[in-house]
Amino acid sequence: MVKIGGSLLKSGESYLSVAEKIREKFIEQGSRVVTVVSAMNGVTDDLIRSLAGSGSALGRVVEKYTTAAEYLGRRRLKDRVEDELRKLKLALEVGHVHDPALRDLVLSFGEKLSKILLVEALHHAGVMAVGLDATEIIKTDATHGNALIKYRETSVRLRNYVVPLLEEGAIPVIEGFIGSTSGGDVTTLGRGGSDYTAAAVAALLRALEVHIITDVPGIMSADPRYVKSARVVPEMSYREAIEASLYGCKRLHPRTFHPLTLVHECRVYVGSWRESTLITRVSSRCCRGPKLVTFKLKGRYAYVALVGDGVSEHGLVSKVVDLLKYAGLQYDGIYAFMSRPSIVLMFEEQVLGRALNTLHDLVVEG
Amino acid sequence: MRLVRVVRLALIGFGTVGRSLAKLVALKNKLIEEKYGVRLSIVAVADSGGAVVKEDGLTPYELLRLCELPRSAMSTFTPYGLPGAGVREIYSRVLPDIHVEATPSNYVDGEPGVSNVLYALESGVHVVSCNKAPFVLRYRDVMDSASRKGVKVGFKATVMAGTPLIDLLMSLKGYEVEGLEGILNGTTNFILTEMHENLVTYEEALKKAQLMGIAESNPDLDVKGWDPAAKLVIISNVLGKPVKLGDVVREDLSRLDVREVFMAVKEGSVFKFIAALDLREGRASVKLIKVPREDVFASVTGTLNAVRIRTDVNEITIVGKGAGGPETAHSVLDDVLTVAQEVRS
Ligand SMILES: NC(=O)c1ccc[n+]([C@@H]2O[C@H](COP(=O)([O-])OP(=O)(O)OC[C@H]3O[C@@H](n4cnc5c(N)ncnc54)[C@H](OP(=O)(O)O)[C@@H]3O)[C@@H](O)[C@H]2O)c1
Repeated sequence: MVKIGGSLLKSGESYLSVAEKIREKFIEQGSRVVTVVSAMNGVTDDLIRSLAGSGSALGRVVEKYTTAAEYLGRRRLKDRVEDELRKLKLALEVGHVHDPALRDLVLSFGEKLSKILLVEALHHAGVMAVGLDATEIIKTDATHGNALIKYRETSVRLRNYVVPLLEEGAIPVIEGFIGSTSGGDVTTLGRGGSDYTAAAVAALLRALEVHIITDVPGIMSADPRYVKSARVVPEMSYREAIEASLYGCKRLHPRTFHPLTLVHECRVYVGSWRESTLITRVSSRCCRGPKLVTFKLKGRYAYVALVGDGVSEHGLVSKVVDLLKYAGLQYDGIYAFMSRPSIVLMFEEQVLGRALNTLHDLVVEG
Repeated sequence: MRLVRVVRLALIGFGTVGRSLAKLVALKNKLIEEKYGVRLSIVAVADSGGAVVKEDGLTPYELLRLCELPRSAMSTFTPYGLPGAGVREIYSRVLPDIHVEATPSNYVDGEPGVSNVLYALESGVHVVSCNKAPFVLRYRDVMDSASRKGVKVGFKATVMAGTPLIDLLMSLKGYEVEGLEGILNGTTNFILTEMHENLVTYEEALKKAQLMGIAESNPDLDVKGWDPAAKLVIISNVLGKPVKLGDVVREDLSRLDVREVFMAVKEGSVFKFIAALDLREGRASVKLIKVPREDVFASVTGTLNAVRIRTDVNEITIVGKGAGGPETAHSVLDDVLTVAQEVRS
């Protein structure tokens, strides 16, 4: 399972280079691949703006996809893209903005168009690819804007749709982020939706690996804007990844791990083509202990979390307390539940930088 | 090992229904094979620009690739595309076991459906059709030709798509059907539902229906009542008391003013586009009728269809989705499987 993030999809060229990479890294290595694709960079935000009436945002979406389609050549492709864009405009004209079903329908065009382009790019790269419609495969509840995938219904469809194609050596490409209700209305899966799709598809097809690929390397040991010495965490567990995302690590959404925990576990690689973090159900023994430090701002406080399996055990908590005292860092609260892989400290916002650096350098790296 | 019989299909018409069917065959073939011992093999596909012919059957990947082509572009599919090829040329290259007709229903002269279906039957090929025209305009000729050639004809997708009304009517052997009425067109019912629930004008409701792929860009066949009228004619043919299309009284739904809708809602009723067939009098009509909110038909909303059959014994009501690519394709597939199983090659 390969999931291509929107940050990699900025132009026609980038679709081609993604396609080449998929061929080199996976297909030529003999892997059977299913691809989940996000909308082009910035498109979902622009679609939300155009729902609020912004003509210029819609203009940007149209421009991006038409230019990319032109770059990828072929008349037929352009016709298809224009046809979808025409439907999108019609949807915005009907424009009951308050109608959540229509809103999801509008948002779904971002991924749909992106899929059409990626399939074409894969053909250019000599890959037998074929687009499948997420609305026909990914079945969800009716919570528009934040729908939950129904695993059983989706599983049946996946087997029908994907298995014959894989057997023939073809690469199915499915839109991330979108699904449909039992009545057939389009739904969207909310923040991190494409990763959630990828994880669900992978788990239901009992895949070995999920590669979530964007333009930044894996999960960092701290926010590099604050901490110069931050580096990519090589390995972590689902639990740690979920905890990190709850405390502000934006790379992942906790929902992504739901199908992986409930249905089938896969090895998840999060990162760029070159460097990534491997996330598995339980991290290997060598890797217990603090992995990263992350934070969330709330009011005038920063909640800084040290994340890692075993960090809430007594020894480490008292070590952290000592360290902070030694470094002269005032904190306003600390909590560490034995059942969770984190220690959370509350700081005044102005000392955030120093706190992150201290915890990172002395505890994570120490 | 169980013997698997290969059944070759020619799929004529590759629009909404044709594409849904191609996908369905691509994706469900394994299941079908396990369940029925039949492997469906699509050997030809045609649209208005030409055809694709592959004697040993298109693979799932090839079928899905065809679905990604724009309209009328079938024949550009290398290496199997044949620009300009029609049914005759297809048949000269490969004789199918079952001919699936999914071209547009044309009630002016019935073409291309009438000629295609008759040609297939005369060639000794079974026919399954969702195109209504041959069963509206030339029902007798079609049935005669089929029985002369000893081949089967399936057309249950022509009425109520995925809801088996035709099967039901054919099974009522000991009953006397006196008449029936109901909602036989999903597009107009969707438009009416929008108008009632959101109090929008006909034009706005139509736009939404078009956006959702429910209404055609030219909605006249539905809105002017031709489509439900054609279905009444097919039903009358099935029940052996034929009514002519030109004799069905029709009203035009686009005339309905949202103010009338508003008034109706206020007095506790809703407008429905009701198709009615009276077999005793030999009369048929498609009219905008106000029904009370408690009526079964009032609760049939969106693209749902519903029919109440009146017999000398009882009343039977059947409700279900009456249109849509996948629904229609499933119904076509049903007929295909029935024919494939009944007929030993
Ligand atoms: N859609 C539904 O829900 C539904 C339900 C029940 C029954 N039906 C009936 O099913 C039939 C197909 O419906 P649809 O919605 O799929 O229609 P559609 O989308 O308009 O598709 C019609 C197809 O027929 C092709 N065609 C037209 N003339 C042809 C010719 N002379 N030779 C070969 N192909 C020709 C068209 O070619 P191009 O692609 O080149 O235009 C197109 O591929 C219609 O008769 C309709 O009344 C539809």
